[in-house]
Amino acid sequence: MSDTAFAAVFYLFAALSVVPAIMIFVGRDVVHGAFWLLGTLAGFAGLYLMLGADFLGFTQILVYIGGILVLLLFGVMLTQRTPVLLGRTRAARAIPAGIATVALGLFLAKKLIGAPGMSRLSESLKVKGATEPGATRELGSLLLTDYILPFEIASVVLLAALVGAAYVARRGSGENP
Amino acid sequence: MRGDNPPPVFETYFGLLVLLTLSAGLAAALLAVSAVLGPRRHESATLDPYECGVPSAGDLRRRTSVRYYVTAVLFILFDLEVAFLWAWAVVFHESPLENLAAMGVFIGVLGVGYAYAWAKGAFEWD
Amino acid sequence: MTGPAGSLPLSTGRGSREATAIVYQELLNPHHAQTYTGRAYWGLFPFAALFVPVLTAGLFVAWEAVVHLTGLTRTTGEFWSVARPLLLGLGWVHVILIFITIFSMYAVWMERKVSAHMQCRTGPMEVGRIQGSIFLWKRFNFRLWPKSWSPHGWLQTLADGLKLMAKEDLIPKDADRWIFILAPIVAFTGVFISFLVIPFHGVLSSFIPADLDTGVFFFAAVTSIEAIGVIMAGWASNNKWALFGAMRAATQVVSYELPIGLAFLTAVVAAGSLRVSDIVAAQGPDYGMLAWFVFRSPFLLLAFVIYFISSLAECKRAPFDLPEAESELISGFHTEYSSMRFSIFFLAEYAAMYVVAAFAAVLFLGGWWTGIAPVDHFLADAAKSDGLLPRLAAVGIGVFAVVGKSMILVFFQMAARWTYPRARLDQVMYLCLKVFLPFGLLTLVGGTAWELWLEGGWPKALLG
Repeated sequence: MSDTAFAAVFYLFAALSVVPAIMIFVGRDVVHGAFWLLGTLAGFAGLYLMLGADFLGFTQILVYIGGILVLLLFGVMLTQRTPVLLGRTRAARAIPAGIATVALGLFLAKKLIGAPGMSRLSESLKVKGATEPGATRELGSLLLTDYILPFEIASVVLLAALVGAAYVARRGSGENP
Repeated sequence: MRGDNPPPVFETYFGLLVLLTLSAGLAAALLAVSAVLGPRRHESATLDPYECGVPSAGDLRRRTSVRYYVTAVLFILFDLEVAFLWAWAVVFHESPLENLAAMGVFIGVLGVGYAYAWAKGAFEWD
Repeated sequence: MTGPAGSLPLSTGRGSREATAIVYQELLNPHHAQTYTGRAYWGLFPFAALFVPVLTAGLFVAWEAVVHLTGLTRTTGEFWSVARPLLLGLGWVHVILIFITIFSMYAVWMERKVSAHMQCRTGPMEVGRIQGSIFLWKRFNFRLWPKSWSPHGWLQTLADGLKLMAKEDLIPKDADRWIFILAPIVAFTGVFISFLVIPFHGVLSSFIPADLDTGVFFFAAVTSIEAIGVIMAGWASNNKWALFGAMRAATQVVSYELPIGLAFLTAVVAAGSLRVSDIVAAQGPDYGMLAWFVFRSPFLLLAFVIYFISSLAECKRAPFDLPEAESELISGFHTEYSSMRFSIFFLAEYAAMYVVAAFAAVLFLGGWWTGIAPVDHFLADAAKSDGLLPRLAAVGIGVFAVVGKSMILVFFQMAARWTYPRARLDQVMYLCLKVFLPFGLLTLVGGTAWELWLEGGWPKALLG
């Protein structure tokens, strides 16, 4: 794959993940924010796919777009009267917040760029992403050999969450629909 | 049955991206064509919400029932469980007996949660 | 009915009043139920259903010939690694779009015909009447078709579609404008890209649009995108019915992803791969029909049944059509949509109907394998050969098999719609969470154990 095409697709997905994320903060409508999230999540799925992590990318779509985004939308729709508008942040608060954000961003960027191996990362990812077949099989065998304990513990974690959800959702706890 | 030299992963997904973009563009183009060609005859009630001719009353975007939210929570938990199983299903044949046992434990633990949720009436839709 | 031969319908020959009378006679004749011979018509459906597979096979053969003769999949180099996906993508979009259009037109007509015949009516009969005929032998009055012949209203959907396109494109007052506009695009795209992983044939050169390593998982994942489009439509419409419909649709679609995922997993375990073409390849060419996954184990049969019923819920078809229940919610989430925007939802709905049927055919019913062992052996050999003609023949047969099997399933989807009453939401959720979820887990565990037995794992494990 030619480098320019790779770079172009990367910037496309990067923009797709970042621009909606900014729009969520800039916009005042909570439901619009939830819909913008679709762009961010899809952008991340695209980035995962580019790096050859196809299983991760589709899990992102299945769980985040198909599950968590729907959950968020349901949550937003049931909690408040719509159109849900957030109060405008006052300038007195916005300016220090903006400065802090930019400072933190610069700090993180400096750390990331200066990190050892970072310069080679994109190169190695590109080579890996361009040639290797999907990693699902590898992921599955690792999950069942080296990481068998975390795999089983995950089921216990999910069990705890399920018990909690079932307790919340138990009959008669909700209001009349 | 696969190709002699399967295309690199990135090329496959690049093709997918092309198709995704084109299909979205196609739908948008169809909408644009109809927006240009369609007639425009607005009358006083044309743009009102359609409620069979009765003027609509109350808040149109009503608050929805909490049941939907709770169902979505349950769905995500089971969905995560199934997401683990996708990776498991591919490698099942590598060492079948051990993998079946590993999955049996995984599903067994969740079966407890499922039974608890059932007993608590979390699946009732009233 | 006494116009001169060869005259145009409705214009000359017979007055338009008379023509109207004929149309009404078809629709309103109170004695029609007695004169109608339903049984004879039913026999026509298999032949009518051949229409779509034959057309599609032709479409794919033409596309395969183009790809093969231009050498599009064999070229290498930096330039082609970018240009090939672009060119193939452009081609595939057109192939799939033409296919969706043909299929939807035919399926809407078929739906009306199936519903009509199930209710002892005739359905559309008049649109597309062919006036005048070609003489084969004038002396004996022997024509290719009758002098005034109506092939059962075969152009009805075209007329409906043209009418729909000429309607006004409304965006209701207080609607959330951009989300309202984007909703049909999101829903359509979600369905459209799930087409891309269906292997219509087993020939190598152009194969399927995107033969992903994780095809089944991809398919399971992208179905949820349509749910987002539906919520967008319902929320943006500023209409109570639309919102109710959207909430119901989203709940139903996401919930039924679970049994669908479990049914898919049962087939994936049997084939040992998430690549859809690998799963089809595992169902042939030996042993004919018995190699199909539905006949492989009782658990896979159960998985097929679970998938088929859940797919009805997934594409919001009756008896799970409560998101757009006409009698209570007007039209559900697309109440406020008109003109082309509505058509896009409609197209997405019919495309989803097809795509779930095709996926059932591919995962459980042998995909491109015909189930006739000699033909299957020919397919397997032709796919490996370099000759253009055997490859094209294999493409044609493969597409015919996949589309033919899916059309049979589509027919059952329609028959189910006109047989069962609509379920309530609590019944829909009951079926999903308390019936399909445990049975889905059962099929997965049982199917896995069965595979172990087929591999000889059980005897080995028991005997040491």
